[in-house]
Amino acid sequence: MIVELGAFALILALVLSIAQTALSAAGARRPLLAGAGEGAAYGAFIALVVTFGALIHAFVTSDFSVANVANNSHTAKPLLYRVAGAWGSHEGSMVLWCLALTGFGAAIAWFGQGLPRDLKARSLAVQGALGALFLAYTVFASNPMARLADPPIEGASLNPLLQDPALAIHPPMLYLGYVGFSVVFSLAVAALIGGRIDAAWARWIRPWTLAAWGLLTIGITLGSFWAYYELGWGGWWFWDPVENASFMPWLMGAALLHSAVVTEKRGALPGWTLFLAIAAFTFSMLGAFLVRSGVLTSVHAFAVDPERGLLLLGILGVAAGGAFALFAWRAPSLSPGGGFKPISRESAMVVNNIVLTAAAAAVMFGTLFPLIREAIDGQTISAGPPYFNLIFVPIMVIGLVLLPFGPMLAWKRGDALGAAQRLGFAALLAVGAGLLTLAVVSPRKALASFGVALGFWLLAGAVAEIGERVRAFRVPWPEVRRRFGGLPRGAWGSSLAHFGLGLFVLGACFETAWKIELAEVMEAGRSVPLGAYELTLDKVGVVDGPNYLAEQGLLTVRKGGKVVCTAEPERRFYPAGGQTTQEVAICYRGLDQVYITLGERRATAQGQPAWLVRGYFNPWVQLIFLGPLLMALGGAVSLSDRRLRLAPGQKSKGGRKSREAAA
Amino acid sequence: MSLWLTVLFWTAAALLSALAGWLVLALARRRAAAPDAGDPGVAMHRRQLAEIDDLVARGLLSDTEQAEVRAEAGKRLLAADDAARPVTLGGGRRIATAAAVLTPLIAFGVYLWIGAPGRADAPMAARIAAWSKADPDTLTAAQVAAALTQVAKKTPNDARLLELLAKARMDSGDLFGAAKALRAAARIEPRNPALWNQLGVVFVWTSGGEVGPDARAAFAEALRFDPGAASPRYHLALADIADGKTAQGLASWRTLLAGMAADDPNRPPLAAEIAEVERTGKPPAPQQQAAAPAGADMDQAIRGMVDGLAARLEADPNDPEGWVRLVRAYGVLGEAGKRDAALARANTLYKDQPQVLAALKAASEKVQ
Amino acid sequence: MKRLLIALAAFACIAAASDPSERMADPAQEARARNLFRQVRCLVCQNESIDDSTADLAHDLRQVIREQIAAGRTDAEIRAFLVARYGEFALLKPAVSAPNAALWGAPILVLLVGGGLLVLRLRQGAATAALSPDEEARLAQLTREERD
Repeated sequence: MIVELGAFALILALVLSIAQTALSAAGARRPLLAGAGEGAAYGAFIALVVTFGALIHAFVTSDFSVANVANNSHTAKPLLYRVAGAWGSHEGSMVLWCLALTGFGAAIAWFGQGLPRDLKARSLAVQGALGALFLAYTVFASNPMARLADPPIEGASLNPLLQDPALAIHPPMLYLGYVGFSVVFSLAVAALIGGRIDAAWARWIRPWTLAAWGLLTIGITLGSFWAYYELGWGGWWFWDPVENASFMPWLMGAALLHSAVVTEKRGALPGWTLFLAIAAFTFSMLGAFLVRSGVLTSVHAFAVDPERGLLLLGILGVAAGGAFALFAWRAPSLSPGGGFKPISRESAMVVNNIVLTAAAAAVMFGTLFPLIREAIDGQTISAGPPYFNLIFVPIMVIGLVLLPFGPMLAWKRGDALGAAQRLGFAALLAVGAGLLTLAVVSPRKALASFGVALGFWLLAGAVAEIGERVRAFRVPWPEVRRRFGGLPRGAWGSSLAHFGLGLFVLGACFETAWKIELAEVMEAGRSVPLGAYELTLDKVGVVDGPNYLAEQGLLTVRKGGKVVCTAEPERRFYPAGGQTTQEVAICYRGLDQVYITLGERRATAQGQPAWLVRGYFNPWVQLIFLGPLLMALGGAVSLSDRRLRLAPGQKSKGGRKSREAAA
Repeated sequence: MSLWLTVLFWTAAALLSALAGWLVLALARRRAAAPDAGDPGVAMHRRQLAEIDDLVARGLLSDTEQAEVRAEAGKRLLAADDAARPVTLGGGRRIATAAAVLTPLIAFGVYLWIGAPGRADAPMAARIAAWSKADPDTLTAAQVAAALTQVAKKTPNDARLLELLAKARMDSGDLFGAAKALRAAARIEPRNPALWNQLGVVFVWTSGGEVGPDARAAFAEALRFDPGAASPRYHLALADIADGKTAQGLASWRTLLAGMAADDPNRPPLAAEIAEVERTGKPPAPQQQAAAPAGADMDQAIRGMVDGLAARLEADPNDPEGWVRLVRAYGVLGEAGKRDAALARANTLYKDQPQVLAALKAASEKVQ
Repeated sequence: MKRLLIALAAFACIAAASDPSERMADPAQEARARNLFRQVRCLVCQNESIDDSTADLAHDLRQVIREQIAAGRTDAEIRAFLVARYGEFALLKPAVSAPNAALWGAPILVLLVGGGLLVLRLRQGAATAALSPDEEARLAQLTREERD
C-alpha cells in the first residue's frame, strides 16, 4: 500500500506542477491566483516527499515487486546502500531530480517574499513548467514505482563501485547543485517575460546562484574524491563525460556569480548575466541527458535505452530552446547600463566570463564533438585527457594569471599601475616560489614550476584582495582595523574562494609532477621502497563481507625505519553481479597521501602466493580536495551576507550603510 | 490486499489530495488579502543611491566620479520606479477552487489508468514469512534458501541449519552463498569432515571442475578428521593428476575403487575415469568429472548463473565482456535460440565497436 | 607549448607503475611506452586509457606497443599503426584536421567572439548624461518617500 501511495503521489505531483504553471502564469496580475500557484508548489513538493519516502521504504524492505528495486537492490546489501539505491538507479535519480525541482519551487514560494509579485508568480510558472516536463517523463517513461507481476527472489544489486559512502551522498549534493540553477533559470525567463532586468533582479538571483554553485562544488569534489579512491589508480579527474557534464554548469555558474555582481552593483552587463543564467541550467539539463541517453559510455552513466534518451533531449530542447529564443528576442531591448573603461573591474569580470565560457565550450566540444563527428561522416574519434590538457588548461591559465588583478581594480575606471604595485608582493612571492621549485627539482619540470608559481600567485592575490579592501598600508592603522571589522561577508567569501582555487592549483601541480608510483608482485614479508617510504606486506587474509568476499592485505608503511601507519587494502569479489573491486588504503601524511591497492593474486617463481601491490605517493594531494571545499565554504560565507538575506524591501539601518559602502 | 489496507490506501491518498487542495485555497486567500507592500526593486535602488550619497559624504568619491556615478544610480532608480507599476486585478476565486478540486481528481484518473490500484506491498520479510509457513515441496530451491537464510540469522550457531542452507543455495545456483554458509558452519564445527568435504565440492564447482588451492585445503581438512572419506580422496587424487603426478593420482583412485562396495553407484564412473586417464595420460575433461558427483545439480547451477548474468545484463546492458560471456555460455548449454537472441541484442548495442563485435562472433562460433 | 604539455603528461612516470610482468627491461623505452599508453584508448572500456585499464584488450594493446617500441619504431609510427588498425577512435588526442576543425577551433572562437563583444561594449558605453532638473525632482520625491 505504501508503494501504491508513492505511485499516486508522483502523479499528483505532476498534476499539481501543471496547475502551478497555469495558476502562477495567470497570477502575474491576480494575487489570488498567484497564491493558489504557491499552494500548488508546496503541494507538489510534499507529494514528491511522499513518493521519495515510499521509494526508500521499498528499497529498505527489499520489496522486489517494484521493478526498480529488483533491478538495483539486493537483500544482502548494507542498509546505507539500500537507502542510497533509491537514487542509484536511473528511475530513482529522476525522482530525486524532480524532488529537487519542486523543492526549489517551494523555496521560491517560501523565500521569495521580497520579490515583486509578478516576477515571483512568473518564476513559479516557469519552475512549474520545468517540473511538469520532468515529472511527465518520470511518470510515463521512467516510473520508479512500476510493479513486477512476478517478483524475483533476489535483486540484481547495485554496481559495487557505487556502494560507497561518498557516492551515497554525492548524487544528492550534485542534484541540489544542478537543479539549484533551475531557480536562476526561472527567474531569468520570468524577467525576460516581464521585461524588467535591472540591478535588483541581479541581486535576487545571487543567493540562488551561490547556493547552487556551492552545492555543485561539493558534489563534484565528492565525486572526484570517490573516483580517486574507488577506481583504484589514484587519478582524481578523468575528463569522463559524466564528470564533464557536472563541470560545465559549474563553470557557467562561476561566470554567472561574477557577472551578477556587475549587474547588481553597476546595472551593467544584464545581457551577459541573463545569458549565463539560462546557460547554467541548460548545461545542467544537458548533464542529465548525457548521463541517461546511452550515447556516451562512462563508469557513472545510467544505461537507458535511446528512446528515453531522445525524450530527455526533447525536454532539453523545449526548455532551453524556448528560453534562448526569448533571450534573442528581448536582448536587443536591454539597457546596456553604465559605461566602463578597458581597465576597470567590469572589464576584468567580462574577461573572466569569456575565459570561463571558452573553458566550458572546450569541455562541451571535447564531450560532444565525437558524437557530432560520427553523425556527420560516421568516423568515430575520441577526445580524452590529452585534448583537454592542450585546450582547457591554457585557457584557464590565462584566466588564473589575470584573476588577482580583478579585485584590485576600481569600478568604471581602474588604475592598472596601482593594481600592479599592490600585487607586487604577490608577484614576488610567486616568482620566488617558482624559481625555488625550478632550482630544487630538475629543470625539465619548468611547467610544474610555473604551476607552483601560479598557485602562490593566486594565494597571495586572495590575501591582497582583503588587503585592498581594508586599504592596508595606505590609510592609518586604526582605520584599517575599523575597515577589517566592517568587511562584508561577501568580501570574505570571494577571497576564500580565490584562495581555495590557489590551493587547488598547487595541489594539482604537485600531485601531477611529483607523484611516485610503484607496482610490484609481493609475497608476504617482502618490502619495497616507495620514495622516502618503505612498504612491507605482512600478510593477506580473507574477509567475509555482508555481500562480498575479500582478500585483505596488511601492509606496514615505514619512513626512515619508523612505522608511520598500517594499511589494509582489499580486493573484493561481489558475487551478486560477479564484479571485483579494489578497496584502497590511504595513509594520510599531512598534505600528502600514501595510497595502496591490493591487486590480483599471482605466484612467485618459487610457487609461493604473491599479490600485485600498487603504491602511490601523492604529494599535496589533499589540497586538490581541500581547495574546492574552501571554494564552497567561500560560497556559503557569501550566502550568509546579510545584504543577501535582507529582503530588498527592508530598510537598512544607518550604522550598516557605511559597511556596505566599504565593499 | 486485505480490505482494511485498501481502505487505508484510499484514505491516505484522499488525505494527501485534501492537503494539496487546502494549500492551494489557503494561500490563494492569504495572498488576495495581503496588502501591496510596494515594489521591493525600487527600495533596493533607493538604497544604492543612498550608499553613494554616503560615500560622497565621507569624501571617498572624487567630484568628477561622484556626478557620473550618482547620475547612473539615479537613472536606474527612476527606471525601476517606472517599471514598478504592475497591473493588479482582483478575482480568480472560482479558478482557484476549480484547480483545488480538479487536480486530485485528474491525478486519481491517471493513477487508475497507469497504476496498480489494490496491489499490496511485498517486502522480503513478509514473503519469507509466507514461504516459511508453506509446504516445502511447493517451493523452489531459491525460496527455501531465502527462508533458511532468515532462520539462520536468528540462530547463527546451528551448523546443521547452515548445512541445509548451503544445500538449498547450491540447488538454486548460488555457489558463493553456499560456500559462505559452509564456511560459517565449519567455524562452528571445525572438526566435522562432511562440512569440509562439501565446501571443497562447492569450490570445485565454482572453478568449473578444477580442484584449486581453496578446494585442496578444504579436502585436506576433511581427510584430517575422516581419513577414509571417499570424496576428498577422489578429488585430491584428481588434483594430483591435474598437476601431472598421474601415477600417484591413479594409485590413489585404484585404492579408492578397491575399497568401494560392489553396489556403490560411484563405482562405474570412477572405473571409467581410471580407464580414460590410463589411456590418455591426461586428467578427465571437467564436464565428465562434474557429472560424477551431481550432474543435474551442476547443470542447474550453471543455468542459475547464466540466468543471473542474463538478468544483470537486462538491467544494465552496458557490459561488453558480460555479453561475450553470456553468448558463450548459451552456446555451451546448447541453447541456440537464446544464444542467437543475446548475440543479436549485443550486436546492435555495440554496432560501432569492432573489437566487441569480433569477440562476440568468436564466442558464438566457438562451440558450433 | 605543445611539446611542453606532452612533457607534463610524461612527468608521472618517474617510477614505472606498470604491471611488473609486462614491463620492458630498458627504463627509457618503458617510459616511452607508458607515455604512449596514456594517449591510447582502451577500445572496449568506459573511457579509459590502456594505461589505466585492466581489461584483456588493454593488456594486448600494451603488449603490441611494447613490441613495436622494442622493434625500434617511433612514437609517430606506432600511433599511425594504431589508427590504421583501429581507426582514429583509438587515439585519445584527436588529430588536428579539417573535419575536427570545430573541436579545436570552437573554444578559441568563443574567446575571439567574447573579446569582440567586450570591445563593442567598451565603445558603446558613453558617459551617462547628468540628471535633468525634472529627474532630480523625481529622485528627491522618491528618496523622501523612504524617509517618511
